[in-house]
Amino acid sequence: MRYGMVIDTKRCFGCMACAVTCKSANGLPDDIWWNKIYTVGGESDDAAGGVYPNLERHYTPVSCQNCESPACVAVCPTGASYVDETTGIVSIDIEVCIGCQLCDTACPYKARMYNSEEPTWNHGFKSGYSDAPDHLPTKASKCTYCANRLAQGEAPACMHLCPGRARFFGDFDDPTSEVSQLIEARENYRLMEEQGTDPSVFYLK
Amino acid sequence: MLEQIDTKRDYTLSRRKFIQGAAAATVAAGLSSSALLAGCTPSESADKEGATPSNGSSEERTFVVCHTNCKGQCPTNALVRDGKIIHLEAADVPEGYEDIKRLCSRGLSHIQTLYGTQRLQAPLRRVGERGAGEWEQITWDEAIDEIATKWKGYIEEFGPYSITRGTCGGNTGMVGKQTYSRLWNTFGGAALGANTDNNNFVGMRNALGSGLYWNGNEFRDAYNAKTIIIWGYAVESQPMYWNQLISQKESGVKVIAIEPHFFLGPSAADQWIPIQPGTDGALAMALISVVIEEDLIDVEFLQTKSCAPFLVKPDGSYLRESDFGAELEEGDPDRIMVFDPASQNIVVADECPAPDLRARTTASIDGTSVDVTTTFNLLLKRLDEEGITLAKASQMCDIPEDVIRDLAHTIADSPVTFRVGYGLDHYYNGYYTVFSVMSLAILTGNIGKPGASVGDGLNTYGNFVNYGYQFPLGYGAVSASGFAMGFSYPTVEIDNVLATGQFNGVEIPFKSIYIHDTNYVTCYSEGDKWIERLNNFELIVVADQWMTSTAEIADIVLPVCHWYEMSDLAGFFNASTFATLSDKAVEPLYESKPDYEIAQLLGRALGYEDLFQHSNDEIIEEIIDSDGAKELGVSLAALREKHYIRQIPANADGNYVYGEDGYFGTPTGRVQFYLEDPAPEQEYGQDEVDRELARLPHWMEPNEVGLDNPLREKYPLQYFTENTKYRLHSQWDSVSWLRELDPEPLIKLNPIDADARGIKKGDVVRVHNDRGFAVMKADINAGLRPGVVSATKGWRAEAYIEGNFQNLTTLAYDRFNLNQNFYDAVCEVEKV
Repeated sequence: MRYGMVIDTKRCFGCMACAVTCKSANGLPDDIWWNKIYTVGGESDDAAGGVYPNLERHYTPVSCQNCESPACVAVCPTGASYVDETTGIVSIDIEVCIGCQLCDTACPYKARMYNSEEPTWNHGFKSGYSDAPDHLPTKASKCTYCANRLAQGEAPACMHLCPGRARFFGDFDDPTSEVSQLIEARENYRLMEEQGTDPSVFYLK
Repeated sequence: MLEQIDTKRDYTLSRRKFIQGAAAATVAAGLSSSALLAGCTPSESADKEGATPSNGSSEERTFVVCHTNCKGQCPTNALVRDGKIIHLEAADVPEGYEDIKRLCSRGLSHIQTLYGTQRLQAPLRRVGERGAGEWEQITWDEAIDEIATKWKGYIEEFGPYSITRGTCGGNTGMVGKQTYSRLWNTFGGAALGANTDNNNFVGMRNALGSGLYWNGNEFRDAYNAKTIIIWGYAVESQPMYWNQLISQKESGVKVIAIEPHFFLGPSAADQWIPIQPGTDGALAMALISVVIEEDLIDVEFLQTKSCAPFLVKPDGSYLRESDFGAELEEGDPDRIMVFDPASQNIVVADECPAPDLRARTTASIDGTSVDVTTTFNLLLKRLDEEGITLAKASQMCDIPEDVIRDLAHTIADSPVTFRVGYGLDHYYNGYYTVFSVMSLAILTGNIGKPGASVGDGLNTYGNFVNYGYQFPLGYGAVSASGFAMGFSYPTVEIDNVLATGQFNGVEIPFKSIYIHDTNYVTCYSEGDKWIERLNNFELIVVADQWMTSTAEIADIVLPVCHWYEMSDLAGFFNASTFATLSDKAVEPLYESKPDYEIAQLLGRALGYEDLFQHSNDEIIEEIIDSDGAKELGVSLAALREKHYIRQIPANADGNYVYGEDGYFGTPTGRVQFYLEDPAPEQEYGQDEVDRELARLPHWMEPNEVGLDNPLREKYPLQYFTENTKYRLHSQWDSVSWLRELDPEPLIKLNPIDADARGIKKGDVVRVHNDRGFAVMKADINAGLRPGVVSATKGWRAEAYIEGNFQNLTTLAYDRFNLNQNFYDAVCEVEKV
């Protein structure tokens, strides 16, 4: 099984709904984002690149790329970062994590965020589903592909409501899955393939 | 392609400071600001609940509707655990309507509007100077008693107009708003009209009329269009429509964006037509000329569905049956006449299938021969007089002539759906721009059939809302204190009204103002000037969920509960296909109360015990107590059970198409580019109005942003204030999730304008004009049209290093149409 995502860059409009629902569903503490949306264009968010009126702007959502050869797992000194055997999801055992942050540095996608201090929630409590992951101080953290939801047969939270209908989730080992069919049908790319990480997130052109 | 992940957006930077800064208020009587304004502090919360989720407990789902005035009215499931909303999901939708399943980052963030640190918790009374931020907590009894006692005194001594209600679109639910209206219509208080987006509303309504869903088609009907034209419409501010727009494009509909800036619409369009801001009306006039000159008009549509063949007498009024001595019974329409080329006679319009559009003839009225001509001829004359030729418009709008000509041909290739936003409306000339765009659509037959739409979709609820709840003493009755109900004076005239103490001959003693669902200091033109203006009132009461910049200058602040803490009929003024009930998910927090209950407390304290006794559900039942509701099957129980009840008619495709039945809700029953009775939206004896000018499309210069305006020498930049996806006006301000993404107000410049001033991203700059200034950080966006700077709107004054972004905007308005013209302002920017 190889869970992964397909993101249609023609339909993503950088609305941030997937980033915010990730934050809400997983009860992410203040300043922690597992799902980030980058503007491709100018130097600032939502800014265009080029010279008026010859301009370009689109968006690239980036969360854990669920790599086949994950750099984070390779550098983890304790085995806390591992590939789950049944789901194929790059996972973290936070009981084993010593918070050395080697994984943060190793991940070329900056997908991981380190809980440096006692986590806080501006609104006073951890939001999200009751089985959302724990957030512990001085531990690595990242997108879990909503493993808690997957266990209940639900897609990750970011897939649930994408207002652009730009996000697709499934098993790339299954050639009949929607994601397999999409990358068969549409021209696509992956981020930083030269890093040899073999990511499982495909971006449709 | 994203080559590598850089750190343009630094997601690791702590940005929590803003929350403390924004809530910083000196509090008297030993109360800390956090005790008044905040929930539990972050450190407490982490200890109590943060690291230990209540695994095992399940969530209950309540159907709620995000009822803000972005118009989305997005159906939502509130997940409730242990009495708290812990997550929001897009709710399931009826089969066939999958494209309305959505929630944006704002709708997802209600957890933080509910439980965030800035929520008002208890009634507060000012103890220091106005605006000093010194408060004491009081009980509801004390608050209501103080307000009602003063109001009773004011009413007795000065009459009910001494109490003004100020409101706008902060909550589009009906229960609270209608109960406040019920209160005002009982004691007969005055109202301060907001004058927002009237250019759009009046321009559209005058041309198109209105029906059950205002005057646009249901959005999904645009799959039937050949072309969608985005015109003055910031798609990102209404993220709920993107899915449909991009799917319509994928299905083969061509998308054209006529926009000054390369924002979301142009970035997704097949064709972007960049335009000089404020000149859209000139483009519309030139397009009208081209479609007429090149014979691209829809003659049959004009003959049968528009005012074009109507004969006009020299005084501008229509030639009617009564002019020929027809004897009309009371209630009979006095039908308008046209010239029938077949019979060479003047005949009744509705009985003539192919009238002459260019007829000039004479009619014998009471034995006198009178010259009559068609409205179409009058339009031709107007075009000729104004001379906005293709060449001239090309120069004014900075659009090549061939692009304009091609656009005219595309528009004539019906059906075309125009998505006209509020961008055109925010200029001094906005009414004429909107009316001209509507006229263009009329001339090309782009209305009243599938895929053709130029108006807007808005629920008017005319089909099932019983407005009687708002009028407990009866429609048209005088108020309990003997004054006419519904007296309103306009925002744009506020300085004159304050200076003279009267409006339109009616005396207004400025004793008290009650403000709800609006925020003058942040959202109204001229920003901080509203502090002085409101200071004319002896007693300022603000009811809100948060300590807004306007609440900060109040004498009494009343804490209103969150939308999801009461039941409401969602979305008056929104664009929903369905009647929906946003049900109560959780109890009101702290001492907050629903608006309807506050209005009832005031009503009872003013002595109207019997009129203000309804429960939340009883109010809803009263509002939907109508034959229309019964026909639709709308009842409280049905709304709770079904969640969605389609409330607008559908054609064979299942879509609502305005005017498809051949009838348009105008005085003539037809769409009209000519107004027989061009009356200003509000008549108050203003003498600057040229009513003849307002009969037809017209090119009017913008007030400040015109490139020829001498003011441009001093202020070479247009001051634009952009809506972003991170807030709606001043709402969602205190939401830390969105502030982590969008931490501070910015002024954005094109690199050309920035370089010319030595400004780089992150520099602190001063933006100023004759009205005011704001100091904030600069940002760079090559997508902005050179010569325009853009401030992200909706930030509270405290968010600025100095000043307030809204201080630069102006209340200047065209007397024909009362409107706040936020974008018609110029400025200069300097590095500090």
